[in-house]
Amino acid sequence: MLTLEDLRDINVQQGKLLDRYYNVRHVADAGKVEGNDQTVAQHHNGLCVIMIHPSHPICSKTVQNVDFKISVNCDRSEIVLSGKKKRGAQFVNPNSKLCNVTCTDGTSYILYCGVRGKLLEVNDNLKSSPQLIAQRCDSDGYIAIIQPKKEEEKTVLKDLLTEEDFIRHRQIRASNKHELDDIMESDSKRLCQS
Amino acid sequence: MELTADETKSEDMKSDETGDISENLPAETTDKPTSPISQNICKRCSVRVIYNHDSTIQIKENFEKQCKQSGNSPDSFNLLSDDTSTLTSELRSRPENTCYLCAGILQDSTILSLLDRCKELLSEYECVGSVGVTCSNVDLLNVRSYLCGVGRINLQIKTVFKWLMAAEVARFLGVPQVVNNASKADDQDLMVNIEIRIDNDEFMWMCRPPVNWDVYNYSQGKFKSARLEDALSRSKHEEIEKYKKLPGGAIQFSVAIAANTTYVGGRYTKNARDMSQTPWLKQDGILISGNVEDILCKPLQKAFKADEARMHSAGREDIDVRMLGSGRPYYVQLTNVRKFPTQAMLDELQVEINLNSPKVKCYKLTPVTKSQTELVKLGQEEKQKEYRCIIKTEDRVTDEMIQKLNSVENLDLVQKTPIRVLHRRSPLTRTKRIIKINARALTREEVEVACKHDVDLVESLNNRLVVAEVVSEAGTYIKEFVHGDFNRTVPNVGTILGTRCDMLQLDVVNLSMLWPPEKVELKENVCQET
Repeated sequence: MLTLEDLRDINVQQGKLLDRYYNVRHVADAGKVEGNDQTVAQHHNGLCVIMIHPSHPICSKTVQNVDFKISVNCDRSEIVLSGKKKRGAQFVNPNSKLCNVTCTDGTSYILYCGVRGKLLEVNDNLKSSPQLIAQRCDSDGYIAIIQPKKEEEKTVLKDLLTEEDFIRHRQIRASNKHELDDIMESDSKRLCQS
Repeated sequence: MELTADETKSEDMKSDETGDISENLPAETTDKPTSPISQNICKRCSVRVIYNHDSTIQIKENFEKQCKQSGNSPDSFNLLSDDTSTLTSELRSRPENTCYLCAGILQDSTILSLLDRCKELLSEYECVGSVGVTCSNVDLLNVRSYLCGVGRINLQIKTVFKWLMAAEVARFLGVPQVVNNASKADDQDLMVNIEIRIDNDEFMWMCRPPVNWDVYNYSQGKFKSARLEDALSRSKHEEIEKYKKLPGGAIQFSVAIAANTTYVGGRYTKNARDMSQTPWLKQDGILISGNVEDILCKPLQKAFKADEARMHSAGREDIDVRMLGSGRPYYVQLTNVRKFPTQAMLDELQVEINLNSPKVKCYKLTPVTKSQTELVKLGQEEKQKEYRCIIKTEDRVTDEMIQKLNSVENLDLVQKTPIRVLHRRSPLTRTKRIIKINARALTREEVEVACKHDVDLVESLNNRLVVAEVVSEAGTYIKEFVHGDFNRTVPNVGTILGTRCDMLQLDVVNLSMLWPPEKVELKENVCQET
């Protein structure tokens, strides 16, 4: 059944699913909270999958709860869509709140939508097994799917960071932190000396 | 005021009537109530009247017989039967008295001149297999039979007219006649559409109050024929007579030929991973050259001189998926062909297409009817499909893991619309069924071939490549069943094996569906033999 030809045809070095079908971009310090890094993966068809970045502090913690009720009146997981045009979807902006993640150590993070568009889906599995968001942050632990407007499909990613930009940003962030630490250190030393 | 207006109009009409319109009614009919006998009645109309209460006359053959028995009138049914070939030109030039009842529509001169027009238009078409004739409503003329006291004539002018035209047109094209127009217009190759326009202004005027037959939709300018029959049968003879003028002034014919959309069915296989089914835009807007639709449609469009050719198939496969086995059923819809497909022509075209395209092959090309094409769309939802996929697992697989896959039988999946297609399809959760899986890990030798003997790769991938034959219900998104689509399809191969999976290769191995349909004639022959 399986011929040699078929075997030779197999592309064994095929990249990861995310790299094959998606353009991946990052949002550093979402909501101006340091380390609150998110990832937006845009499928070739335009849809954007919102995730947290693997370097996010959540990933090394135990997640207690993922809450999509971001305010008294607004629950992101209340999704009523109908038809191909997805009528009735919530329309979100890049800095709209998406959910609130609470960890067992008492810390909590607000995650943002990252792109402008219709909120098609939030990951319901996170309600029952919140730990997914930390363990499988780049796949099963995705947070939401957003559909940009047709005319904005090509531009929604342009303000986000590419992999290289993101690494650079982290380096700057780290060095800034060092500088800051240095300054604080020297300040305290100076204080002590005086 | 209204009345005087009407009167002046009536005057106008009268003066019109004296004009040179040859097919106008004889002048005497405007004066007295008349009996049918005193009028010029053509042979066919007299048969219509005489056998009015004989229901068998509604059958074409009976009508034909009666017409023949009515003597050697030139209005014989088969206009162009052998011995009348010399007669035709004579007939056309012969001044003919216009029939009172049908206003000449059923008379030879009319039919022959119409036929000439049809022939001219029909000469554009080749290989016509069947032809039908339609004709617009002429019920307005029914008023005439009421006016001369015959009342309703059951055998309609339109019916007889279509018999006559259909017979002659079919004879001209050399195709079998459609019996009694019973079969659907859609099933004919060609339709000859004849519109008969009756100058009915005067009748419109006549139907206004006080008689108020309400047979006109004035806003649309349309004539309601059902209402007319009703009104006429209710009205007393004297009442009708009051409106001395008859409907039906000049009669004009317009002929239009329409080729019905033609369908060619077949199956295709695709032996390449870089060919999409329809013209496909890559992200950067560059059109990938070559697609299944063009390869299969363009030659047909050219050969049959169609305005447009479109492919419809039972489902579709992705650009990187091969279609093997007996192929995928499809049909090509050809609009406005000038040449109609025959089996012999399609056999030749099939060879030609397959010669010119190494990647896509077509089989069993055959003409199909519109009703048959529905099978393809139905099959899209009903049939089972067999896939073969090569799966790469994150962890090495053990025999027990493979065993788990192989024990799958009639497994129901809960599948959310994959992200891959979510942009154009509704967000839904569908239940699909995996009927069977037959999987095994690739042997080391096979892995070596797949890795092109790269030692490190072989070491890394040994026991991580699985070949699985999956039989599933049509409409299952098989890629998503393998990689799980962010766990939006559950269960998936990943959850069954307990390790993350990715699809490296996918082929559609088989698609069980009887298509194109076997020829009906063949079946009949078998019946006769047995």
